[in-house]
Amino acid sequence: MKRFLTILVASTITGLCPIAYGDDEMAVDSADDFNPESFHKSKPSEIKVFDSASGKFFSRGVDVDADVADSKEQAVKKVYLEQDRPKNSDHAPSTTTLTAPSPASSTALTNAASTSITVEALDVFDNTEYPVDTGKRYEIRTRYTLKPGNSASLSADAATDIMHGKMAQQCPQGWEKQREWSLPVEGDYYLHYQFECL
Amino acid sequence: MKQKLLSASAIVSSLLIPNAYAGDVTVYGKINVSYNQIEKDEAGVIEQDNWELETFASRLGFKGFEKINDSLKAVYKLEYQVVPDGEGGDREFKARNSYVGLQGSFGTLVAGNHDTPLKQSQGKVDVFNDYSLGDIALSIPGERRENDIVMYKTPAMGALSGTLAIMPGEDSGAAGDDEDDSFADQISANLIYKQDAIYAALGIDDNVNGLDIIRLTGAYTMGDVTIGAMYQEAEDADLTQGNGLSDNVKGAISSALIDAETLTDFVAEDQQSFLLSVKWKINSVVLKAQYIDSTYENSSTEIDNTQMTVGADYILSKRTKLYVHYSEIVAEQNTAIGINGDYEYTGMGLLGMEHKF
Repeated sequence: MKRFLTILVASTITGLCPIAYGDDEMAVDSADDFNPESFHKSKPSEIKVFDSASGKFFSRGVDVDADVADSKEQAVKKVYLEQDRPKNSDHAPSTTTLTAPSPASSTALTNAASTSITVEALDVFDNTEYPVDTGKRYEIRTRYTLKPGNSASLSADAATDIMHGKMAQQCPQGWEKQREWSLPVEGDYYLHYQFECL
Repeated sequence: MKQKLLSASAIVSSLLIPNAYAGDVTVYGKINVSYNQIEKDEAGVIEQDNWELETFASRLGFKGFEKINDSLKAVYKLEYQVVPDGEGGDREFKARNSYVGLQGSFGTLVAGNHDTPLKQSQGKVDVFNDYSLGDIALSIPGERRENDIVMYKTPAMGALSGTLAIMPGEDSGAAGDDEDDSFADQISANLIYKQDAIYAALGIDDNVNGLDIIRLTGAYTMGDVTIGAMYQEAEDADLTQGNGLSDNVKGAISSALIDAETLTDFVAEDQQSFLLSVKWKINSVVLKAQYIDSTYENSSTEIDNTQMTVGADYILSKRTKLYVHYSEIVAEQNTAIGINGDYEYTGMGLLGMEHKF
């Protein structure tokens, strides 16, 4: 029993690297209370031994990006679920292999202002067609490299093509890009777009 | 005939297993170590005076659910104590709160091993919860995790919620051992109000590990400051048998009560205590202080006990913190019952670290 638990702990902790959490209280903090309705709700920030969304065991945890918008009226905190690159992709494979769950939701937080914006993170490689929701804000991202000799990652142009393809798929009537930014990751960058369907 | 049987079995099957699916299985836990200097002086006799690397309630847990249908879930939780300082022994992987049960619009019903509703009613008022010399369990009885517990929690009723637990008695039912052998010899319950800045709770134990207890708890948050308070009265449910007050508390007062009983047959029948705590968050630092005053008495005399703890947490991230603390517990002398000097326990936490996952 002890050996099994030791192996289980080692494999889960080394294989899963949740970087940060959202605003929900952590399970361990509420473990001694008895609030089962909230305690047994799935939270994207948790370490999952079994992920019902993907059907996979020991699926990677959630990569949390915290980003404060330039506007003083709003702060955005987003939760991404890591993405699998499809095997038949025409583009260079990513060096990172991750799960591809259904779209995750994230919540934009505000400062003292009472307004809030809901931003839904989409997987650029997910070809599922979701209903168009005019006025709803979406966010997508694609990894790219600025190093000329790096064939393992997409170029900035290729990443932009993919992003535009996803926006066209999600918003066939057109879209308005709200924000664009890049964040460094392991020598490459993540290109982020936030957009709304027209 | 065959077609009717097939139709009937299909209908029955759909009713029995309507859209059931397994939800996420999640692992969680925390690892906590602190380098502490501990002194235990019992009426001038030094019981301990050394440095130790201690762990405060480090744990590993698994939780999950299965959705039976749109209005019913099976829920479960398994949690184990871990001792990362390497001195676990029998404590390593000892079961903590664990249960299996059903959850629906009716509330949640579980069975297993769990903190009693009275213990749960403390909320976050104990700002040094689980610290070896800071936890309120070293002054106040009723901090119980009970085996064989069946517990029901109401669905949320606005800001109110209630929990009721029953536990069978510990007797086997054989002749001569059948005093506490019924369905629900021990009962624990709470009623909690939690809304915005206010927390208020009532907790009651009836014959839980031999004690009858009533506890009132409250907390109020003003910005970055939270003030907590608790008042409790407890009495031995049956002086002729079972566990008494000395079996339900830890620390200096427990040693004093045991020694008094050994030396002079003093048995505490009643207990009163009150607690004040404060927590003040200043950027990444959280300052904390807690004071408890408790009295253990019978019709002729009493032992007074005080517990004071101060400390500070430095928050590195949502999951990691460093902390320091100092605790002092004094069970006062009472020569009439053989306690010829104060029983003083002090603990200085030089530096501790906690990581949650």
